[in-house]
Amino acid sequence: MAIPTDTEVLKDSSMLLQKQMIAENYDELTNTAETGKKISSTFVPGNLNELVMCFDMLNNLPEINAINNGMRKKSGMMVMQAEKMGHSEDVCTYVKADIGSMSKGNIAPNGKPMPNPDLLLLSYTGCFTFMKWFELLRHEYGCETAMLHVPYEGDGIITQNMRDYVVKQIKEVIIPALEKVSGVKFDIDRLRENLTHSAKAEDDFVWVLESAKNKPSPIDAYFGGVYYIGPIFTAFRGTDKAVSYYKMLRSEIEQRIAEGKGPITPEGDMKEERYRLVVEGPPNWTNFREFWKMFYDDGAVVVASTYTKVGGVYDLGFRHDPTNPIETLADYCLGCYTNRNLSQRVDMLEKYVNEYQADGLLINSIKSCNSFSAGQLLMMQEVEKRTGKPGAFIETDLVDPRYFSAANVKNRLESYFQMIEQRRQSARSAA
Amino acid sequence: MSTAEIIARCQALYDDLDFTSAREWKNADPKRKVIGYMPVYVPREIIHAAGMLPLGILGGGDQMEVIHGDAYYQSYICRIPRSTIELGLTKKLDFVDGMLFPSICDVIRNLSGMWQLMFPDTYVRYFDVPQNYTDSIGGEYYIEELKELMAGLEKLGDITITDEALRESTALYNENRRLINAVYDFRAAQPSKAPSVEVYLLMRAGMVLPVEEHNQVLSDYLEAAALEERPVRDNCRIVINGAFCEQPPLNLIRSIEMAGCYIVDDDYMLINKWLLEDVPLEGDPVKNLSDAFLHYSADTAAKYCDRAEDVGQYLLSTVKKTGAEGVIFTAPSFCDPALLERPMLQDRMDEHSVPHISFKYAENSGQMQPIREQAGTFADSIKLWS
Repeated sequence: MAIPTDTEVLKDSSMLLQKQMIAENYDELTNTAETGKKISSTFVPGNLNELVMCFDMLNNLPEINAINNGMRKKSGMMVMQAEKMGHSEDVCTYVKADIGSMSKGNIAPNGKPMPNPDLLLLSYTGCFTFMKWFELLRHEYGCETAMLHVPYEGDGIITQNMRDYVVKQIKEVIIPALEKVSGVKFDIDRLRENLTHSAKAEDDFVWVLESAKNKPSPIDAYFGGVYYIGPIFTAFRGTDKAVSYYKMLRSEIEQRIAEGKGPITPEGDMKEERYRLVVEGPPNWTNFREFWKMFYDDGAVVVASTYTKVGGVYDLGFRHDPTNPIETLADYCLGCYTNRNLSQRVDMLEKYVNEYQADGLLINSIKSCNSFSAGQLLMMQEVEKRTGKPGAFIETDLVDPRYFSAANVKNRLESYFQMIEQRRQSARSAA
Repeated sequence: MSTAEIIARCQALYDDLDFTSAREWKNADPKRKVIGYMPVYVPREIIHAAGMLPLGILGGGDQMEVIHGDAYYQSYICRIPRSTIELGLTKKLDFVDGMLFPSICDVIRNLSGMWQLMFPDTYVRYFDVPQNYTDSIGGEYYIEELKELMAGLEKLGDITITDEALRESTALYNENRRLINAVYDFRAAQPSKAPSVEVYLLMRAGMVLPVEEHNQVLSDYLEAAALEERPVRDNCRIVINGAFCEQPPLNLIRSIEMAGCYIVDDDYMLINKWLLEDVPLEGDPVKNLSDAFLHYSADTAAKYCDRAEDVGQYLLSTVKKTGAEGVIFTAPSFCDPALLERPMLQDRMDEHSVPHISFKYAENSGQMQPIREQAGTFADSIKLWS
């Protein structure tokens, strides 16, 4: 059921629950002086939440902090502050938002100062910038740092050597670092229990993502998808709460399907589904609602996206496996979307366009993110060639408002929708 | 042979975007294969031991017009991948049998996938290196990666890489590194006798020549340069940092020197100086290469620095060793590794009162006046107040 909030934005109950969960995590993070809990900072791709929880530690994700600051229109100043401090205008704005936020007291979304991390758990998965980002944070915080190097799937496969390397690091570097910082001894049964929760939540999460194969799609798998990935990509994977959340979300979507409804948007249920799109690349956060509106105003719904796979690719079959607890963490890290090579990414996009009966592929190319962006033009050509569906390309940034040009984006989207219409007309004429 | 003759040959190799010398090397024997590699590091010893020619691909420089390559990249991505794509699409690399894309950044990483899609008949490998430097963890992983590379080359060439061949190749590259270090030491000691453009061209020649020939070129240059008298300028001594991937145009290197800065060390072609000591010739040659990478390779932005206190120490030691008076941080636009690391290196230089400036370039930068002015002012400030 859609519930109006005080800002007149309509949200489903699951969205409100998700917001509440994230808020509670921020409260926990900012209350460690009272609770004595330790904080691990880590990244979304390759995050080891099930493992971190075995040590009673909290999970803080700098990307999520930057996104929060972006959505609350605070990141622009932070980025510029970092640039004033000597960080290049050319590098990732998540990094600069994070560093700029530190210089302004590192205030969490709940208005309280974020304590310094006790451990920088550098999950170096699918993004070069991660490595230097945490070196920069270590430079600032001077705290314990543990590096987990996850090799890239250059040949599109996970070799035994790659898996063994990650497993060894988890056993011999990461777990000892977590034990040292937390003072808690590792208990593998606790990890198995957390992984069991993960797998349950992942089943429901995949069901939700795949519900977009319905016509009309009951979800928007990009803008709405951002809400749906919230718990599983952050501090809740492996918890009871995540299991409950995805169960609730699933029943909510089941209800939508039963009622023949389209996805929820900030202005209520989407009325008519005119275009079904697959989207590659992260969203822009500084103008998130304005960006989304450009889609739902024209009846465009995103039926599949790759951004919702950065924290784990579950819809291709992977599930956390409690019977192989360390190995499954390694496979999870190795399989995250941006750790896959371009051929694999093209294959995924082709599959999405076909299986979700999309009208085409839209790429939102992000200035900050070479991991996503380098090669996207070739990817678009390949997907167009293989599917016969048109592609389109827009450019924005993550959390730097200077790189969101609403007029340009809207123009391109409108042209793209017109192109899809023309293709349809041509197809009808040919028939 | 005079330095002018040696450098004229190196310049011709540098200018030749058709890679004629490498083509001729290949055409001399139908069994020969050429393996291209991008910055910053691949173990060329293994390619050489396979009887193949390692060919450094460092983009198209400022002489090549990039037409097709630009269609593959957004404006905010550096130039080296687009000019490399241009080299591929214009068939300048059509004789190359394999391409190695080392772990340096996401752009080069993704270029490996692009190459797989665009040139499906070429052997392509993303060459990952460990960021964990413990023998039993990163070392074991890396040894297996090296063996996978060897297996790939053996299949490509239908050959077997023997331990003996690998030891012989290692010995040749040890000699190459010793000669390269000798050239760098010579320049640091007498920078007026080894202008930076010459040293640069000498090093670039090593990207396309067989190592045996490059060793001869280096020896000849050392001998000739020592005998040649050249005017000594009132220049300050600086180290260049951050230019390890996309290369600056020659004019930029020349401009820095003309502006009053002797370059006494640089990281232009880091592969030449990656391993800091000789690789042992006794024992398992693959493990020896792995140990060299793990325990005595140069620090660079493409690697993880596992101890906070070590960040910037390699650069600092280079400054001290060469008697440099300052550092010029010069990185290609949009170069994630160099630009992300730069603030940490600058802080380390500040801690030790080493003056520094920074600017960016692209391989096709044409306007040198601003760089000359900036470098000139830097040189003046060092001479007047440092």
